[in-house]
Amino acid sequence: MKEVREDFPTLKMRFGERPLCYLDNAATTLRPVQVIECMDRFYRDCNANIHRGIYHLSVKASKMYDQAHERVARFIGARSWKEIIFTRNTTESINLVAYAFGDALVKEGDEIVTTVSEHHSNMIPWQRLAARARASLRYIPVMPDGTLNLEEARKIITPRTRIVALQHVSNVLGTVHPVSDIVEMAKKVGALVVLDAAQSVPHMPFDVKELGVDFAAFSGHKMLGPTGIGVLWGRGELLEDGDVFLTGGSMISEVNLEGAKWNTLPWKYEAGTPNICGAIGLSAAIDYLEAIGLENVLAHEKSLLEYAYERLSSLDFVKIYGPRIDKRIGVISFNVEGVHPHDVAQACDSLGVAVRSGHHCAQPLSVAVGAKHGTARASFYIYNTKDEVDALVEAVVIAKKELG
Amino acid sequence: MSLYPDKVMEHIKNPKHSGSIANATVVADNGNPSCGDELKYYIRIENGLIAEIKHEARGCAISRAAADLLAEMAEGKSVQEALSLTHEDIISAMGGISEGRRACATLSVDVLQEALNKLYNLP
Repeated sequence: MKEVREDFPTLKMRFGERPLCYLDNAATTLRPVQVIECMDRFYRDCNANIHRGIYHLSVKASKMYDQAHERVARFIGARSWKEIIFTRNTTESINLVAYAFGDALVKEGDEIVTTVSEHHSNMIPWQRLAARARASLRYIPVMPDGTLNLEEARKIITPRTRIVALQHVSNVLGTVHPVSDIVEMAKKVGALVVLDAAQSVPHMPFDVKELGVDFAAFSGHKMLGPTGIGVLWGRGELLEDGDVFLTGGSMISEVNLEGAKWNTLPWKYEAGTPNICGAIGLSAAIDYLEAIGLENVLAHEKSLLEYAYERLSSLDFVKIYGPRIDKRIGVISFNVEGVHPHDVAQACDSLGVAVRSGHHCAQPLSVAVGAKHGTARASFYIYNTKDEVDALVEAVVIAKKELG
Repeated sequence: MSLYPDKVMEHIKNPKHSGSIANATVVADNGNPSCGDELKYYIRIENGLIAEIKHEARGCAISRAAADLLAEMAEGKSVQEALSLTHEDIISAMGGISEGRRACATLSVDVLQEALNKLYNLP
């Protein structure tokens, strides 16, 4: 995908003699000019608040914002644009479910189930809900390679389970979890399934109907879109009946001094002036990704993953965490013997290679796979190349030589 | 080209203050939970001066080098003088580290202060 690199201004940056090798895409991706220019155009030519003014500009901005819901709905196979709620990010989307649905659904003695593999964003909201409801939070454990222990999952998901919250893809190991197996277990006991799709929607074909989950959450900034825009998709009938989350302007249809009536979907869940430009920028990012094709995105990342896996595993002082490459997508976490992950990341930075080090917001998973002090992580996207993997490997060798 | 300044590399490769002190006057430990760096200082005070200081440091190279360098800076100083050592002091003593690694270095100052402040609460 050499041709796409031209669209990303950040990739023109250089560090001394070296070009930027951006390998931290699981944290946030870069943005193409198509997205940047679309947002720039919005602020120049259409800027207005939405659903308020009768003047031309406001009508235009409202239409663009409404269409952004439609664009996302088509992208993830939702039945209606009214099932798309714009939030700030995946974290806010999951909190919305925990408060608006969890509080009504989970009672004392009930159980919420999540997994040891989760990002903290899909763990803390459930810890808090369990504390509010005096319910218990149970964790599906992982195998030493970070895949879910399905045998244990069958014991942990019981008729007492009200909510099962899991990630689709691990942000640390790239593990693709068997969502359909978990959905089957949850449906048998009547539990809702909340999917953290932050690491899957950007990287693979994704259809909420096929997955059979009840809610799915993801972030714009991990898929070429701007920061500050996230999505919650929920099944329409659940959203219709659900309680509200943030309250105030926009989310009401009628207000008097005693109370209020809630607005129709999706506005019921979008209180206050939303991130209008962010939603429009996300639409542009989706246009960009669909023009490439999500199958092609996945195939490109897989080829980089295979190459990185092969090169890094040829070094006997590198330990790679996570499952075999057929069970994961473009994320690779590793350690260099005798070298702290921060020092590996620093060696990478010295060659212009941007990787993340630490626990990647999933500390329990680090511990479970035997990386108590964290890992260094490289994560790929459409613009990455094998040359960049070579630069990563070069930096890893330097880290070992200097500090190992 | 070296990854870190010479001063840092020197303390990584040949730490002079690593270990523990059996009859330490005060001991304190703490860590950076986000990256797992851990540091424990053992300090022996004689006549109001830091007579001996050792550390057990686990973590990244910057955190280990800072722990050792700060021990070197504190040894021989009065408790008051050592308490006045700041985050900026350790960072400038290390000869330039990147902005992203400040917390790795400043853990040493925080743990030293925690230890010395205990002197005022001794039974």
